[in-house]
Parts: sequence; structure tokens; C-alpha cells
Amino acid sequence: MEETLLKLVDKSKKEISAASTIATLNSIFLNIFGQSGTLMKITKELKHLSEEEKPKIGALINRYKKELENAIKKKKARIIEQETKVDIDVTIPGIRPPLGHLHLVTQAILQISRIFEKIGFTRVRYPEIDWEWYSFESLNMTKDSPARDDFETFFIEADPHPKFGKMVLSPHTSSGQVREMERVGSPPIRMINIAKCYRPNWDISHTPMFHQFEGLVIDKSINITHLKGTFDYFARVFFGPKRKIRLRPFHFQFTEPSFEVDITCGVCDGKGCKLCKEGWLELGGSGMVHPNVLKAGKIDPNIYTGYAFGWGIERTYMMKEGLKIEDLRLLYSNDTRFLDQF
Amino acid sequence: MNILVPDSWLRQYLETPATPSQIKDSLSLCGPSVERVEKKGDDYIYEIEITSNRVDMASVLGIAREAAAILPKFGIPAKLKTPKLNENINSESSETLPLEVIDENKLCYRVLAIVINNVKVSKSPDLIRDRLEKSGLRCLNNLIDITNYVMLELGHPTHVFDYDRIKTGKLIIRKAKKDEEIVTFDGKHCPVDERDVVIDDGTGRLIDLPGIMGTENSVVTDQTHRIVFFIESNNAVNIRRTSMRLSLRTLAATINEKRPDPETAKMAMLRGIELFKKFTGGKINSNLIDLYPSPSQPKQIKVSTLFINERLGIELTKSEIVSILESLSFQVSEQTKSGSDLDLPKGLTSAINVTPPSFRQFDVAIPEDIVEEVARIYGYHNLPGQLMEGKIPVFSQSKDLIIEDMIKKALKFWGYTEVYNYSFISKELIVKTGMRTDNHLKLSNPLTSEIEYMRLSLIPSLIETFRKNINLKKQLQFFELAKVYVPQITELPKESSMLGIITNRGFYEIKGVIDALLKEIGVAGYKLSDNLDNFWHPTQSASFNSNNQTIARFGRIHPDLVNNFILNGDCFLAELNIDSIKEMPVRTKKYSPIPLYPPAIEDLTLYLPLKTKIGDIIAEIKRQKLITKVELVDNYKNSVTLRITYQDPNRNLTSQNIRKLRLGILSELLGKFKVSLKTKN
Repeated sequence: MEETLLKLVDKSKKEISAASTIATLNSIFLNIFGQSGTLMKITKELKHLSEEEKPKIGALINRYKKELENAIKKKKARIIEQETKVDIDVTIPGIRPPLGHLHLVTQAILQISRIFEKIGFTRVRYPEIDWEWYSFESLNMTKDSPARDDFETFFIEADPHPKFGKMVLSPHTSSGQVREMERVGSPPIRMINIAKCYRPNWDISHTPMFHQFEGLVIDKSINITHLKGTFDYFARVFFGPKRKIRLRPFHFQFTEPSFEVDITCGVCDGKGCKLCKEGWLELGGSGMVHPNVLKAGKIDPNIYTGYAFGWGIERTYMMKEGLKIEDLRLLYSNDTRFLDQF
Repeated sequence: MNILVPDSWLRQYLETPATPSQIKDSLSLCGPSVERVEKKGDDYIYEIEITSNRVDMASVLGIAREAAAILPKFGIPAKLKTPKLNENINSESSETLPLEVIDENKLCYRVLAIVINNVKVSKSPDLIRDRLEKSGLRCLNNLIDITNYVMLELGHPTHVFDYDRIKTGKLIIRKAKKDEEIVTFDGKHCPVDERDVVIDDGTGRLIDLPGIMGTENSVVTDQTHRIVFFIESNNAVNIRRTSMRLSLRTLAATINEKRPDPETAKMAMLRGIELFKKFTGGKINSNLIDLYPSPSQPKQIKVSTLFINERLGIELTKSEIVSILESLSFQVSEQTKSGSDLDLPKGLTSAINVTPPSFRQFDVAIPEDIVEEVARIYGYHNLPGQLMEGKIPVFSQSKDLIIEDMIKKALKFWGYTEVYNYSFISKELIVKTGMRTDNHLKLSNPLTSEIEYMRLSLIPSLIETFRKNINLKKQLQFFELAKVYVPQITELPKESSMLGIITNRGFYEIKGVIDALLKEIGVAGYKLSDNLDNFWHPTQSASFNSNNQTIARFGRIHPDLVNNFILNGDCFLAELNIDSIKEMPVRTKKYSPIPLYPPAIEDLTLYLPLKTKIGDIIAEIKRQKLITKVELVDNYKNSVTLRITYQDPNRNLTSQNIRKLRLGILSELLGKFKVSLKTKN
């Protein structure tokens, strides 16, 4: 028995060393270790041996089994090495598909509109150059409103409209509130208006052109808890599940009550750090739509109520990413060394 | 505006065990925003933001009032200590000094004035100096300091004249005339005109710019011993305009332009008199002049519990609401259906009538204002949040936005980088690109000449972007999606959404990008045409047209522009009008079965006579039978290699079949273009 075994092993070892392809090696493996392979046959005969011989031969079989397995493994590796003669240096950089960059304002707009579209808001865009009426009067801002000074708003050299007044560069996306009411006709309204806005400020923290996103919701029995719920939702999805918001009293002509919206600082989780005001960061303004604004949009304030908010795209996005861009003018300077970072 | 309030001064009017940090936190949540508390010696200083509608809070007393209403909501006791002022003002001398105030045109809502004799000019007492300095004001002498002290404490600006420097004893409030001038107390000459309100002493001499700043010729000096203490309630809009135009942004002006309460003016007068008597030794030497032709009355507002709760989204009881309003000094009375004069809102059996205190009369006017007061004192932070129920309005996304998103993504993944230029353009850039300024919309108040006009095309700013980056990168590939503004008579300008692309990679690159974009968007049936626009090279550019409308232009930049911008190296542009393609029919996706028989593909190398257009050759081949695809493989000098795909949906093509088809093509090409097959040598 021992002899048969030895012969078999010898024969197999010769076969293995003679093999030149993986396929031959695989069939040699099957001939030895397969269900009806040579080694299996011998193993089956073990039961005919005496109790004395059984463990001895058994141990031998195990030893040869390992030897043959190893021999096959080594041979396989050698064949693979020979077959793939071309060396690959895996550290050489791969061939990348061309990849440009979307401006960070676009990235912010895409994210923000997606979040609001999920809760039924429709994305719209209204004129960047508009009449004073849509920018101010319709928003309950009288002729005397400081916002209408020419150091707060850009005016266009053009004949004024007999009813709507002068032509201005819209200083906020709120000019779209009454336009949306006119478009939809009657509530419900769930608008997200994202557009360029313009104000005559140009320094390290202001650019004469910037972007805002404006939300407007009008329906029966809309109240402050809905505005809060919407901001909670936005804060969690846009900034992260741990972030919380709070409202503080503020004043805007076109909302009543008006709120300043704060969000917990993402750096210190609201505990207070150098970047925030004791754990809070200002997100932007909001409020319940002023009845005069609803009236300007021909919506009955006795039947419908609503809320609105208008926040800066640039600011909101930088707060999310924790970007500290020391000079905001960089955003619109279009230096490739800046653009390629996003 | 931001104000500084010392804690020690605040506690003169507020009795509370609250710590400065508790005061800061609770005020910020329910009232004015306290931006900072700073410790200074034993004292603390609050920096507080006052919104423009709440000028009543721009004082120590105003903050104390708010705190007294808010702190108890946080479980901290607080009580307002209202100042007790002597209302009984009489001349303390048998001989009163003459003083006359004339406001014929009622330019002021209220004017208060009194003469005080025997004042001694000196340094103010430490308490006043300390408080003024902590509040961010400079101390001068006791007379001036008292006017500032009263303003900070009660919230109404006040003024003091040297009685003897007025000379006539007359103060005539009138509109200024053209070419008049005032000289402020700090020596600044300011031209005033019909838009400004001034005070004349009856001789034509201007002795004050009321509500904004005193003048050099009437202010108190070290020698002053008789004064006129003067307070006027001004027209807020005028104050703002004059103060902005003359750049005289005094604290008095910033308060007066927000319409402080005329009742507070009276309080300030009484408090000032008290302080002048106490700290300057002065004696009252005239009657109190009080011109107040039509005293304003706070309006009563009718509101119901239901109205308030509907807007809050929670249920407050009537007594909770009433107690909040009363804590803010609002007067509340109930009205029920059984009463006589009933005009209650529909479905309501009872309402409350709310009258704001005089210092809130201008900012609280409608029921929603009452909602705000109740909600903020109850605490916005105590309200729950929930998403709204109700119908979702269904609108399909507007097509230009869909197209723009598609373009942005495609270009990004083709290696292009998006830029955002300003919507403005300078005259210089307009001229440089060979356009005319008078076609552009012009700003009437541009900040600089760089942003004087509104863009009519994205190309000029894109060339600038290109030029700025030319040495920073080898391959430049930029695009911008933005509006251009086309002026229209008597209407708002037409805002067209445009795409601009700029690259140094070559003509076929930019043509291919535009072609592929149009395909991706699904635009069908556009044709190649000339491009005669100014920006482009006369022979190395073209356009895509559809129904005689240009939808895109592309090609090499015009040599003139290369010169004007001093561009070294190639520059290729493309411009696509999103608005025109959004109107176009979209190619609908059709299914055709996958062919059962394989195609036959072969390359043909053709000789081309001079000036043969390869596009024409390809189009001609495509017109032939059983040709499904013609691709350009190579193009060198006067030869071109095209890869032709033959396919018959119904059978296998034999080499015999293909030969026949090829001969058909070649004979057409020879006939029409004198093009022949290049034979192997």
C-alpha cells in the first residue's frame, strides 16, 4: 500500500513539473483529488487495512496530499508569471476621463433645489431686471423705504412704467413673490425661486451680484409651525442630521411676524466656538407673508396665510462646507486656480 | 442700528436677579438681539441690535421694558421701575426770558422748548461720564453730556442752544432755500436747499439742522450761561434724506429717521430739565413751549384668539394672550357679541380690542402685529415644527432649467469648467469687442465704470476670463450659462438664457461639443450655415440654424478681437441660445428593431479636388441606399478616409452586393464632386 502510494506521488510530481499550461494543471489536480481521483481511491481502501496500519497510512496520505497541493500551487504561479510577460507598474496614474468643474454656486443651487422639490416646491426664476413695484411696493415697502435709496438698489436708465415705476436690478428674490402669485392664480403655492440679485456693495464680503433662494408657501391654515418644520427639514437634509434651527424676532416689511433663522454650528455642535455666536450661526431671514403682500398678489388674506424666506446661496453653501473664503470677490473672479478646487 | 447699554444703567430701571448672561439669552430669543456682553470693571456692557421698526427699544428704558416682559417667561422675576418725573414745570424767576418757536407749515409733529438760566459749564459728574463712555459716546461738557444722556436713557434725541447766541429769542422752523448753507458745530460747511428743514432765528441766519446736528453759530460754549433746551419730533423721511445726502450720520439722525414717539419727547424734556437743574445749577426761566398741533393717538386693533392661534399653530387661552399683551403695556379690552357696536370677524363671538402704548403706536397697526407680539413673548423656540399638509401644487419643471442642468452636467464631464461672470459689462469691454454702448441697458447708479452696462452677450466676459487664465493652464475649457438683457421699448428687457463656451482646443472640438449638446438635448433638424456675427472669424466659423433662426454659433474668434485682447494662442468660441432651443420640437425617441443581419463596414479613401467640402461628400453618401453610417477616419491634404457602414435589414450582404453599392456611391461622387477612389499603388 505504501508502495502504491509512493509510486503515485512520484508519477504525479513528474506530471506536475511537465505541465506547461494552467488547463493541464487543472486536469492533473482533478486526476488526483477529484471524486474518483487517484488519491481518493487509495483513501477509500484504508478501511481494508489493519487497525495498526490505518493511522500510519492515513498520516502518510495527508502528508502527500499537502505536498502535491503545494506543488500544483507553485507551478501555477510560475506559469502565470511566464504568461504575463508584460510588466504592469500599478503605481502609474490611470487614464482619467476628462473632468471639469461646476461653479460652487451651481453645486449649491442643484442641492438646494433638490431638497425643496422633494417636499413639493416648484423651482422658478423671475426677471433679474424688474419694476420697482414688484421689488418694493408689492412687498409692502413704501416710497420712503430706505431699501429704495440708490445706495441700496441699482437703477436702470430707462423711462419709468406709468404704473410700476422705475426699472431696477432686483435686489432680492422676493420680487418673485407676487409674480408667483400672479402665475399660479390661486393657492396652494410652494415656490422655490433661485436667481441672481444685485446690490451696490462691493468689498471683501460683498459682491454687486449674488444669488438668493426664496421659498414661498401659501395655503389655507399655514402657520409658524410649518415654517419651523420646513427649516428643520432643510437643516437636517442640507447641513446634517444633528443640526437644529431656532427663530429669533426680526423685522422685514413684507413679513409679519418676521424671524431671523439661526442654525447650530456644525464645528462645535452648538456648544460654542470661535466660528459661531455661542453655538449658533445666522442662516437668514423669514416670516409669515404680510397681508398687504397677499393682497398685492390678489390673494385674500382672510382665507389664506403663508410663509416666506430668502437666503443667500453663497453664504448658505459656505456655511455647509465650512469654507472660509476670505474674500468673497474670488467667487466671481473666475481664476482657474480657484475654480478647480470645487 | 446697534446700541451699547451698560448693565448698571439698565438696572436703574429694571429690578431683577437675572445675570447679564441670562438677560442676553432671553432678550435674544424673544426681543432685541443681544450680540455680545462685555465685562468692564464691575459692570457689563450689552451690545444690542435694534431693528428699524423698534426705535422704542433704542434706549436704556426701552431695553428695560422689554426685559421686564421677557424675563418672567424664563422663570426669572423682573419689574420695570418707571422713572418718576416732575410734570409741574414753571418759571422759577419772576422775569421770564422771551422765547418764541414758530412752525407755520407744521414741519415738525411736536416741538418742546424751555429756557434755563444760570447754568455753569463744567465737567459732568462721574456717573454721567462713566455711563456715556460705556455707551460709546464722547464726553464734552455737562450741557452737551446731559442731552446725550437723556437720549440714551429714554430714546429721544434732544438739543441745547446757547440762548444768547440766538440773539432774537426766535426759532423759526422752515424749509431751506436754494443756495443756503449751514456750518455744523464741528465746522463742516453743508449746502442745503428746499428739501431740507432748518431753523432760522428770524434774521435769515440758519442756526440749526433740526434732528440731525447743531450749528457752529448757536451751540453752547464754555461761556454759555443761558440755554434753550429743545426737542422736536421730526418728519422721519426728511431726516433720513437730509442726513444721508449731507453725510451727517449722527446718532440723533439715526434715531430721528426711525420716528421716535412724540410722547417720549415730552418725557425727555422733563428728564432733561431735572438733570440741568441738578447738575448745572440752572433755573427755569421761561414757560414750557409745547407745539403739538395734532397729538397722535394709538389705534385700537381688533383681534380674536382664533386669529392668533391659527397663525401660531398652537392653542393659547385668551388669558394667556391677554397677559402677554399686558406685560408689554398694551391695553386690552374684551368685546362680545352681546355688545352694541359689533363688527366682529365672521364666525366669531368674541374678540379682544388691543391698544398699543404710545411708544409702539407706529409699529403695531394690524392684527398680524399682535400675533407677532404674542408669539415672540410666548417664545418662537417653544413652538413645535412640522411640515405642512395639504395639496401639493403640480407644475412641470420649466424647460430652460431642465436644459441648463443637462448642459452643465454634460460639459463638466467633458472636461469644461463653469464660470460665473458679473451680469455687468464696462464700456471698455463693449468697445473692445466691437459692440455699441447704446444698445446696452445702462445703470443710473453704477458703483464703478466696470459695472456700468448690462451684458448683451456672454462672449466679451468669457474672452476676459480666457485671457486672465491663459498662462495658468495648458488646456483652457470654460463655459458660462447666464442671461443677457436685450432692451425693449416701454417694457422690461428680454432676458435670454445663453450658453457661452471658450477653449483653445480647436475648431472641431468646439463644433463637436455644440453638436453633441444639441443631440443630448434632443434638438432635431438643424442645419449648418454661415456665421456673419462680429465676434467670429469670417471663414473659420459657422452656425447651426433651424427654421431660419440661429440657435448656435461657433468657431475661431475674430482676428480683430485677438488683437484687441492681446491673446497669444488659439481661441475658439461657441454661443448657444437656450431660449430659442427650448421652443424647438424635441426629437422623440423611437424604437427600431435590432437588425437581424450583420452590417458590412469598409474604409474608402478618396481623392478630393481643391475646396471640396467633406460635409457635402458625407451627406451625399448618406443619401445612398442601405448606408446606415458614414464616419470620418482620416483627413490629410487632398484625401479623406471614410468608414462606411452598409446594412440591409432583410438579408446578409454579399461582397457582390457591396461592390454594387460602392460603385453606385463612387459614380455619384465622381459626377457631382469629381471625387475618385484612391487606388493602391
